[in-house]
Amino acid sequence: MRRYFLIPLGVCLMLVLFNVPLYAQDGKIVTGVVFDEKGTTLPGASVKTKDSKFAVQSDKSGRFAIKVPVSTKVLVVTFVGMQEQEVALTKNDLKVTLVSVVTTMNDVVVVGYGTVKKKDVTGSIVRVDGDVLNKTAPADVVSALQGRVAGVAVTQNDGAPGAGVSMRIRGSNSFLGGTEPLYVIDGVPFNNSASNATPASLGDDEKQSINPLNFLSPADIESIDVLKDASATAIYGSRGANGVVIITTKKGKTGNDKVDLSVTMGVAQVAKKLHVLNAYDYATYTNLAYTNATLYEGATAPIPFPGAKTLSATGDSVYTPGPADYIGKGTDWQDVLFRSGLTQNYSLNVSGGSSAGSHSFTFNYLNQDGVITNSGFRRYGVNFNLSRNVGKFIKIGTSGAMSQSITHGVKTSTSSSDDANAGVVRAALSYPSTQDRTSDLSSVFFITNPYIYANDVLNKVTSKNLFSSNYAEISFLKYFKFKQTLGFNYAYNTRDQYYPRTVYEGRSKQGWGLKANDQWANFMSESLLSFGEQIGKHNINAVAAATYERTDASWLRYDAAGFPNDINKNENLGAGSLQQTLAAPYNNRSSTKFASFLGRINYNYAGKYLVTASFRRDGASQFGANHKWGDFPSFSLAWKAAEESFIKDLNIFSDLKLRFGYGQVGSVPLPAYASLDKLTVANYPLGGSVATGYANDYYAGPANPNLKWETTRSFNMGLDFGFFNNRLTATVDVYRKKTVDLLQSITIPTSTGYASMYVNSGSVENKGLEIAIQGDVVRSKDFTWNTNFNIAFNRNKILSLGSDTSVKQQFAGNISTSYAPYIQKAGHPIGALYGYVEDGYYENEAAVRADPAYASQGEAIIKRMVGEIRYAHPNGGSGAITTSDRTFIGNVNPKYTFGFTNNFSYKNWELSVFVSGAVGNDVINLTTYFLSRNVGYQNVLSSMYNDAWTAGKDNRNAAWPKIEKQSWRNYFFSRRFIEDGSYVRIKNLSLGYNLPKNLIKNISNIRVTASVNNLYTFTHYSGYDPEMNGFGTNPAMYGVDLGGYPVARSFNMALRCNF
Amino acid sequence: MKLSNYKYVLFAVSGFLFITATSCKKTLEETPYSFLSPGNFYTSSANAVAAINGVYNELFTYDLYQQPFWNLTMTDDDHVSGADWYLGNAGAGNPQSYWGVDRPWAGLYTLIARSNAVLENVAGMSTSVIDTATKSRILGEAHFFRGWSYFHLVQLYGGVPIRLQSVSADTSASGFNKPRATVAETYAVAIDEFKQAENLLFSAADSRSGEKGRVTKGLAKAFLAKTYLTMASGALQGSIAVIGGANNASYTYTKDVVAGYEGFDSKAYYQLAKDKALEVVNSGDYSLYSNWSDVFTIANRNGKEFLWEIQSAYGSSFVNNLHAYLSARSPFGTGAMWMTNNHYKTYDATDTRVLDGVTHQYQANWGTYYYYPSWQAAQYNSSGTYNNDGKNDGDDKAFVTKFSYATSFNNDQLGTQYANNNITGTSDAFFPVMRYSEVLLMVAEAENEVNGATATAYQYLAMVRNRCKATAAPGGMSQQDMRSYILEERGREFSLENIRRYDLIRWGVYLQVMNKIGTGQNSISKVRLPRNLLLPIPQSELNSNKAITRNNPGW
Repeated sequence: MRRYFLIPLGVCLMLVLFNVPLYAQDGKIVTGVVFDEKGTTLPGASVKTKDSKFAVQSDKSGRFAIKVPVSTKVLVVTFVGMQEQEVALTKNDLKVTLVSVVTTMNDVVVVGYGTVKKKDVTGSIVRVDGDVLNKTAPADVVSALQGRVAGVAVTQNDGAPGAGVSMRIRGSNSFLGGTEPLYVIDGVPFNNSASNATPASLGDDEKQSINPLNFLSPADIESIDVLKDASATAIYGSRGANGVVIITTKKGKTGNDKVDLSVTMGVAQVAKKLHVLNAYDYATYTNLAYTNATLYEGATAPIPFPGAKTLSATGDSVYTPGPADYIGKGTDWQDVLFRSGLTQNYSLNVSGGSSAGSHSFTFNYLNQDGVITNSGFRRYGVNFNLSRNVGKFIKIGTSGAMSQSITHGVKTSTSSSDDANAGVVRAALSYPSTQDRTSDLSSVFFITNPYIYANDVLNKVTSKNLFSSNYAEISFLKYFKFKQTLGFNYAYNTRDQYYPRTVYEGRSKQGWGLKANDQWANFMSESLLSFGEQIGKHNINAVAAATYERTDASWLRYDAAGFPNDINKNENLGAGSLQQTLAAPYNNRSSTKFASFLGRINYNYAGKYLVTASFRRDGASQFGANHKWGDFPSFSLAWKAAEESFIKDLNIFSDLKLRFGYGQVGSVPLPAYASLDKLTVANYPLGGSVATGYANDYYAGPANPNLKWETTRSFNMGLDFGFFNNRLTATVDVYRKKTVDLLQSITIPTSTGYASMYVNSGSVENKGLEIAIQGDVVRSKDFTWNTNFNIAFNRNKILSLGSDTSVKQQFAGNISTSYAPYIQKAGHPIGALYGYVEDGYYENEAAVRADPAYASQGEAIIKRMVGEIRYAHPNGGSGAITTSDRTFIGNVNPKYTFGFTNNFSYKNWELSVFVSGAVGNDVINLTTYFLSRNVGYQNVLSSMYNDAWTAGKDNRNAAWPKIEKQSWRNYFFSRRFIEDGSYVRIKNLSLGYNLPKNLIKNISNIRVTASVNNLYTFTHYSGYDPEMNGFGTNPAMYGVDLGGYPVARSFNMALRCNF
Repeated sequence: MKLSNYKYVLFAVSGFLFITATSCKKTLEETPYSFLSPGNFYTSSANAVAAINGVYNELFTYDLYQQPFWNLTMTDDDHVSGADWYLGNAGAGNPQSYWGVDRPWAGLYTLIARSNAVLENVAGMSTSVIDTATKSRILGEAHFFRGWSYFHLVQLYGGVPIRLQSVSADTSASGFNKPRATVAETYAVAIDEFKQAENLLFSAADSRSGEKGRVTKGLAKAFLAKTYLTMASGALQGSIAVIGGANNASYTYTKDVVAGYEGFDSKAYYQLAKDKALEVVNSGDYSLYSNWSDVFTIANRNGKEFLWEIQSAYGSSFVNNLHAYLSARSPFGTGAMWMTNNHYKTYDATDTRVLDGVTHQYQANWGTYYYYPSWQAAQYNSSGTYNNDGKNDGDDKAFVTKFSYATSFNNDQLGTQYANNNITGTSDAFFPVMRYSEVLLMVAEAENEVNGATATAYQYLAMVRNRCKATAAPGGMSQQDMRSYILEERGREFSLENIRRYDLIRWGVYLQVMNKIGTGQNSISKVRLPRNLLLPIPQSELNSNKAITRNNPGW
């Protein structure tokens, strides 16, 4: 019934809307042609009268003919990216030359639920155009933003193709909640962390993750707008605290159909190799480790590489090789593991539009081989963007992305200290260089041969995504628009994993296979009413909207082991004799709902004084019963001083704008059902059989009806400058944001029957300064040089852990077995590191005896401690080293991050250099930790051999304790495993050539580009790359190098043509 | 714009807001799919039963009977010895260095919290969904667990916070921050809970009492009696003799009045204890097995002598390591704990509690098996039952075999074939919590304190001793002699049943007895400080419960 009810309504509307009086008037015909600066004709330029009543577009050859009233004196010609021009009708056949817009002052930026002209922005919003984004031929949208926007820190979790990427805008706001911004794609919110693109794997230690935004092809991005401050993000209310990234996909533009083909071919190689011992050094080193074990502990094991005949177990005399036998032999396992990875990326876009609507179709295919054998990423995608004008007042449209992406992973980034779970990168470093690639498990203690490890293990994640945003927009009553949007977003991710018996993980289990999946479905409805009117000097824009969202998620994990052989891998889990060997099959389903009302008013007077106020009321199902709804207001002001006559008179500024904003935003780090009481299975055997029981979940904690969002209040003050007719512009923003009601799991009295509980408690502050400078340094006919620099400083400080807890400090989770160096304490940043301090080495037994810690130890202990690390008591005291001897030893937050782009063009050539970096941040190098633990049967970093403490030498610069095969050495967590992760990276260097127009007749542009990504990284970091983030989006544990997938350097050739 | 236009706008705005906003309140309610929410759980009899089963579940955890609950107390008395790695912590007076030191607190309060939830939710269930008997039993079980938990908390920690509401239901300002009650207040709660349990529960013989392994009316009475008895003995002023020291002599100590028990009327509570224990005796629901060797057999689990045992189930995840830790006959070759040779010597030569209940380790050339101690070798060789080739490694250890009767364990006396448990090392041994012999000895003890060493006292003592073929207790004992004798008898009867330390504490002689030994067998330190009288309150509780400002003395 309801459907039919709409029909009469529709008919009525149409009658009203189409019944517009037609003008019938005398006129004259004006003709002309539109050119750009280089003399190329411009098709699709808009030519209209000043009152916009008469309008046409230039045709394929840039020509136009327009009938206008006889009285018309001036025509207005516009084209996207060009300065608007008024042309006096002094002659009939006009020649109009449009000049490119130098700055983007007249461009619009997307502010969420609408757009404003960039010059009218009152908050801190930065736009990155798709063209800029695609300069580096990126495989994913998020990492393409790295270094582009001041205050936006993008970190790849590791270098694996398709791997997760984390983004932090203006520092960390949360202990538990994640600092990922809200992504909004064509108006539909996309919850990056909730979409959970990484299905469960075998083993908790595997930290590698998949980027949920992989489904978007960067080639299909029109623009990305980053909303940084709360006055801008408050319109997204309870989800705005970490910033908002608004992604707009390509739409067709009015004019003839355009075809845009881009083909990129590339080859990637690992950017750096670590130095480990070659076979000769390894054998020598191992012998030394055994010799020292005899020397310091009286061990009796014979050296493993004697180079002499020895008696075997069966009593035969056989020759066992010595170091000299390995000269020039052995295996470089990194060479075995790493390869040149080929990348092919094709994207074809067809777009166009007319007064009836627009269309854009993109087909893309990406095949990116990883630099590690058997790893890679593939994506097939179709994107489309359609709009249709139905009559003059109704517009409908849809944009959609369908894609499948397949990630072939190899095991890297594992937090397990167990060598059997080391993953391929660590295996390649520690597997003895004396072995060859056929050597099996039994040869070496508990490391899998990296060649076999990489080649035999299956670990594939397949993601199928469907993203759809649909709208109908009705304009009515001249000033109003009503837009109804429906969004659907569906993701289905599966993991196939199999450890055959040729690797340690699968050996004792006789093959170990897994099927896991997660599904995620999101529905969104948004009703938006907008209003805009200019009354004299008063300009008012307003929006009001109501939205509703529902997200359903489910996941499943099933594993089995004990397979008769490895042939079927994980495709017949039923064949395994051991079902669910480690965990019972696990599945879960959740549903969250979200509703909001919002409104915003933009007012400006005479284009000088601008005011924006917004308000949003959000309700989320995962909030506690007492806080289902939250209010999020914002207010911002701007004063365009450059418009004032007294500033104009100074003749200095072409633009000068002062902005001030305040806003209150939230973040919803709560998983579904976090506030509820939960009953879990709690059986008990009665009378010989197990009886069903249920009890409150001890680990989930008691219900907390007060659980709510984390609230961030932020002030932002900004200044926009423009000089020399905006050839030099600068934006400076300072901000201070304070986040209160941090979500924490606090210890509650055990006498309540629970150990911990989620509460909102504690506060953290971020304050900072961001500067962005753009300049057109040179602009001449043949040569241009423009430069773009941004730098951001952020200081993070925990103000309080909250009144609900008397704990003065706490630690984030373990980064590896029993190591939890991340301390959270008032006055220190999230990401402060806590640990022990070293004080050289014990040079001799007298030095050991002199240390009260060893006062009562036996001779054997004293003897073996020579050449070992002495730890200090930075907090006073003496004796044994205890946890009270820890102190602050590092900070993973950078002092500043920056990006620097220079574009040069000379005639048809274009050269672009993009440098980005981070300075002052520490990185925990767990690769070093893992490699340093086992001495005498695994390979080590060269420094562990060359720079080890050696008896009788000057050991003041020794980097490592003595070489000895032992099992008792206990490294306390010290600066030894923390390094300065500062880096400056030449992220992209590209040289482009536009084929001369006279060579290509029917094609408007062909451009060939050669580029290098990650050309060079200046850093003191000793690992593969300082930009490693093993724990992904966990805000409390940034900056851990778990021995992740190394970052690659890639060389690309790209061809792009438009016709 | 004309005024009328604004009307349309207003109409349109309110229209779409209304459509989107309809029933928002309901919209934001959460629907759980993969777990149960208490809100919709208490809707059937079966679910109410599942809820009370969930309380029992806590017993079988690493908070309570999977180890810490008994480890902290059983390793810490004068009658046990064991491996240094096992007794080096709580067994040496250093409970805080044992990993499980905080677990009994957590476990007992978890029992309380779950019981609170059951009481809050089941009490209101209508008779249309649950029959009166089942409801009564469930409520009785919950009251029992609260009483049982507070009874143990007060003995282990002194006065503790009283929580008789779940933390979700407790809306008072002091929800989380509950101060410690006094010892007397805590006992009052335990007594009240046991009384309610007694009224609501059914006797073991009544089919309405449910499956074997549930708590019953008789058990509630027995624990009520034990509570009175504990209060009475703690408050008593006088002396008691304990066999011990380095030379295994009898030493008479003036007992301490236990801190916090000063106000209790010892005699009155002993009278209450006697009456309540006699109610159990007179119910006729329980009796002793005539042979000690029958008591712990698999066939007699939950049998007539057991008021309550912690259950397990072979082939399920509910299996434990009791036999491995507490019995010689384990796949590890040796148990971690055994009775001291001194204690062993206090048994009569005819006492089947050692003849049938203790084995001794012997290292044979081809492996490990067991025999009686060298000084008794002649006696037991002649029986022909035991293989003793006379080789003695000089390390006699008296292993108590109570926990060896387990399905996963091949229980052929001294043949050491562990057919079924080579892989797991686990067993389905039960843990006895209250045996009928304890009820009998409670009657004897209470009678002695109320009326002196009367024939009645002798009679109940004799029932326990006769069953294990031990010689009769010496006649003509004074009240103090009888008191001392019963304490020792409890030690012999309940070896490794988690009773002895509680007895030493309630009699106020724990410190004297332990320090008299100094260093015990196998070099286990028995030296104790006053702080050892109570366990430390967990640091996490002190950190988070602002109403508790200090730990127990010395911690």
